[in-house]
Amino acid sequence: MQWDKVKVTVAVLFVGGILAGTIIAAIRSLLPRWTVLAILPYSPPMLILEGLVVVHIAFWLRPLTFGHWALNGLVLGLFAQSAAFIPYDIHSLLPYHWSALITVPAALIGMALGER
Amino acid sequence: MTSLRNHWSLLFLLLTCLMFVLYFLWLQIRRYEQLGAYAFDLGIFQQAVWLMAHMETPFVTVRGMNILGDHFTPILYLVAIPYRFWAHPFWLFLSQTVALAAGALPLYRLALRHIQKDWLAAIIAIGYLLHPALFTMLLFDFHPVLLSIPFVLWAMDAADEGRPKVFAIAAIFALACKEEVSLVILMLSAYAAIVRKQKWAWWGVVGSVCWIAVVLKLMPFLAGVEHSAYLALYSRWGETPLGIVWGILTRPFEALRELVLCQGHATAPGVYPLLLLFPFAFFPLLAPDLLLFGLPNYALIALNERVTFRELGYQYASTILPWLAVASMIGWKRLLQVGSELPTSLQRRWHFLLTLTWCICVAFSAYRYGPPVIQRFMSDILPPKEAKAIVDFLNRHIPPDASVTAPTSLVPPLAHRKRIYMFPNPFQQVAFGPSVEALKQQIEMRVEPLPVSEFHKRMREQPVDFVVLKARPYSYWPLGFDAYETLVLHVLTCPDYGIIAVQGDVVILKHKADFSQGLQLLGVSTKRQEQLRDEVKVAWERLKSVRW
Repeated sequence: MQWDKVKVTVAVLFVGGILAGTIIAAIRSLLPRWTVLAILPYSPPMLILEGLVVVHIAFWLRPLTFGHWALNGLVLGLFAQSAAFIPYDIHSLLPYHWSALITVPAALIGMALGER
Repeated sequence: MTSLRNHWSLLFLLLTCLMFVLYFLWLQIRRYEQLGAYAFDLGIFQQAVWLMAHMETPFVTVRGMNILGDHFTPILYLVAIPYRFWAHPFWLFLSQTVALAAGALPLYRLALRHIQKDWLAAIIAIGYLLHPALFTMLLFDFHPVLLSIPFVLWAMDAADEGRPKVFAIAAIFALACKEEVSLVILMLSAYAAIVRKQKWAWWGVVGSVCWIAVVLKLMPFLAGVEHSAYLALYSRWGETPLGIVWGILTRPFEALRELVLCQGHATAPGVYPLLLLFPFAFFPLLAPDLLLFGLPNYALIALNERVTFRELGYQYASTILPWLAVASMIGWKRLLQVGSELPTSLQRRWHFLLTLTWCICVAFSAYRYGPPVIQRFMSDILPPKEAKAIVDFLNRHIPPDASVTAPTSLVPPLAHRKRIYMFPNPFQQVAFGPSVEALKQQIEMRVEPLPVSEFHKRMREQPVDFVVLKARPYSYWPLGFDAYETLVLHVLTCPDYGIIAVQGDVVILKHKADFSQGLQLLGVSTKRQEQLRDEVKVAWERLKSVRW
């Protein structure tokens, strides 16, 4: 793959990851507290919603990327972890939990579905 | 056709700027009129500009020093021109609000030149206006450093376009806004000289270095001290400017840790830099070559001992935001260039992705981080009727040329005079003068009240014409609650001052007025000295429940 294609793919995944991360951060900030169950910082309904956001974005971005869908999905899923770096309010970040890595399988699914 | 489209995007941007100015001007005036503004930092600048407007030396008694010795801000002389005709902080609010809005125009110009897409240029400029670190600065009284933002952005635009004359003019105005801005101009000149290969920019480097050297000598001279007290805020790195730089360079890992964590007063480690970067969708990270030159200004904030430097709502980010705004524009440009590798049919989707990401980041951060800060600064205001009644009461009893000391929130309505102090100054000096101790008192609020005999002696020896006290002030700053209450009792039991008027929870005392008669206004009738303090205390407590 040419270097230019690598650059464009990384750029698309970077911006897509920020978009996904911002939407996830917005969901975490704006949804009512009932979506948060006691066991994990992020409740299953919340995580499913976050996963669905990433699936859609990955599906939509697949035509813009070059290279193998699995690698792109993996990178997009990791870039979507930018949600962890978006402050919850003016003073704090939400605690990180491994369950937020749901963005990775979600991005893989989205990329796989978008594969022509 | 292209120029017509440019015209519409520019018009849209101008309308946004106008709405920005009107909304934030209204908020600031409301805060002032409802007595939510403070002596630090509105009263200080009101008095300074009023003195400048009347051709007086700007020795600000609110701060206890020459304003130019505190921060080197000769731009205030320009603000003083309209102040001469109508002495009202409206001019201060107008100047800083228009300045922030005007910063969008050079940014739009820069973006239009680089990106060649008028609507994208407009949304980049609007992204700057909606950055929560930017618009929340307007709520905390007045700061001349905010006036530097449009000049710095004009200088960045001129450096980018290679126009040395425009750069020089913009740089001179920017330098006049605060001493810290000289570091911005120095680094900007260095960027233009090194990265953009503009030979003339070396003159900017030389000029900025000279300016820094002169200002670092001039400020302590005007303040009447050996070194500016603000150097003490970096004392863990060194004692002198060069010592501080050396301290940072020789302890790089410690400095790097502080730069990354950048912990604030209430802001958790690592959050502040994210609050600066996220509203611009992290795009500034794609222009590290430019951000590197903005790093020294960021270091001034991150390596400072005063934790409020690293909170939204304060003015300190004003020297970083121009760097971030221009870096985000360069980030945009680079992303668009990379996207040009895509097939034409997909480029539209790429542009849509960029725009959507930018707009969501801008909108979400403005919504999420801005309103809590605005609410914090608007929480101290009184109901309009009560505030108006208090101001009318003060104006009715205190002549315009009299000297006054008053609690911080009552200083702004009384600030246009030669001698206005923030209570308990001048009797007990707190946050007053150019010393390091005064600076620390601003942060720590751990002042021990003087013994009553010493306080009375000082009231006798350094009198002011009027003392204003409020039983329920929203802010006791720079005192704690206990210190304020103790000093209030000191004042009310001083026989050299008599109460001349009481209304609501506000008491006015006058030098040499009848002491016993004044106490009767407070409902205290005792003649016995040993019971006096207790009875005054009871009367003062009673006053706290009196409503306007």
